[in-house]
Amino acid sequence: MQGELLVVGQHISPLGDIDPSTGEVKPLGATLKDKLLVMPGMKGSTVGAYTLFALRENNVAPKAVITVRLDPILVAGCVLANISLAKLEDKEALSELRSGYRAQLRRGALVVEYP
Amino acid sequence: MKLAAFEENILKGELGEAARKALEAVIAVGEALGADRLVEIHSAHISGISYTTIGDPGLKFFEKLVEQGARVSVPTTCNPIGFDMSDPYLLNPDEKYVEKQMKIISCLKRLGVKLTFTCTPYYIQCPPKGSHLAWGESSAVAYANTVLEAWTNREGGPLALLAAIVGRTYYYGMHVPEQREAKIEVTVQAKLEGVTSYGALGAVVAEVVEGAIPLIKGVRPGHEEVKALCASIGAYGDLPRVVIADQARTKNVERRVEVKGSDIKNVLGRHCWTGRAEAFWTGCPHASREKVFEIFRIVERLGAPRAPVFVCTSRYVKKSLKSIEEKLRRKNVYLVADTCMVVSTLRSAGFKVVATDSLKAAMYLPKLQGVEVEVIELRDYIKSTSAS
Repeated sequence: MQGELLVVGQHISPLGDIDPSTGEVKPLGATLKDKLLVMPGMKGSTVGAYTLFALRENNVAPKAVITVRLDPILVAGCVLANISLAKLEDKEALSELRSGYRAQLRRGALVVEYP
Repeated sequence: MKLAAFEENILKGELGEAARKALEAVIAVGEALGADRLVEIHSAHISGISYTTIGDPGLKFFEKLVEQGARVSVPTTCNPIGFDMSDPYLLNPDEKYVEKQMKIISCLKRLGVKLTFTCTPYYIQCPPKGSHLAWGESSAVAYANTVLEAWTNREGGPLALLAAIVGRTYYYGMHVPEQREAKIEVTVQAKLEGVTSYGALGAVVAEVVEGAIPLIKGVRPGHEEVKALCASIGAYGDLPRVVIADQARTKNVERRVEVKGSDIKNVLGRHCWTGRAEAFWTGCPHASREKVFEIFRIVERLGAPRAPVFVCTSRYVKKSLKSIEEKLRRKNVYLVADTCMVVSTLRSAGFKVVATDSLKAAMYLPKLQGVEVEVIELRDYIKSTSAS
């Protein structure tokens, strides 16, 4: 699976921070549709799992979510919305990633093409 | 994952298609998190049943389960909906909204969920110490793990429902004794008082501990204060539990941090009180009976506030307060059941600036309802706006 990264530098609450009808990540003002969403983790409401499910139903889901910390809510949302989920083992790597970089997710490993 | 015979049978479809699919989802989540078995649950609490927060996709999720003939197999309570059933149009929802919300409720009823409509299920039926739960609602999860010593992960709303159908969740995180232990020590170097300060403490702690269960020293919160703390750690972070104790053992602590008075002030400073609020909203999480009595005593002594106070609570607490409900109303204080400011239709009701004593609500209201929020203790709000 390949696509463009969308990097969110902070933990976001899917409920409230992501618009389920457009896929906009509000703190960034950018959409996560078809992107590989990279973030340190999520925070907030357990309803966030429904937000991820709604992204799929509204055809604006990301291709994958790549995160340092796995919250059970995020995992549940990705399972129900059938979104690939990978754990970023190297926390430091997060600071080297930028939105717009092309990358591939191969068997759970993120392979980034640095420009 | 190692499964018991009963669980294998569910996967073979012996309890029907709905149960098979529900168990598959619970296993998939558990395996992703590294769980090697399932655990029987005592009860479930499902979040995400307000049409405001889940919309049509959420309704569709419930309708599909109903079609498949799903039923919960353990006692299952549910979170607030988008309005007070006894007065649906109080906050001006349109008819379509009410119709969709009623459809969600009808699905829940057919699934066997108890229509409790509250984020404080522990006031209705307190889970036993050490019981395994599959609870959604981040504030209730934190309260269960921190105060009640009942064990639950932060279950996503839909997964809590699927766990309720099969009566199982994955054995991971808060269900594992070692993973419940504090790994970071937080010393509070400030005298804290009131729910707003403790709500702010929750926000600070959630942001500094990076997911490690904290041992918080230097505070002695009362019931309402610990409830505010729990609501904040779940909203501003991803913590399912904190440990509050001055004398607790600290052998596993890997890191120490301090919280200063200025950290608390910084959080509160994001929502300064300017007196522009059109109403005060409290009850996030839902108010206890004792909190409502406290509000009653304050308005009896200080007089009615100029702008109304809305107190969100459960239908059970509201029903138990019939004797003072009318007296409160005469003091410009109104009890609202089944819903709360965050998941209702506050925006349609025309509110632009509201005051609250809930830091959790202060985080969500601008995002979900598009209203500005000012944080102030209820007592101070009444003091500064009462006519007398």
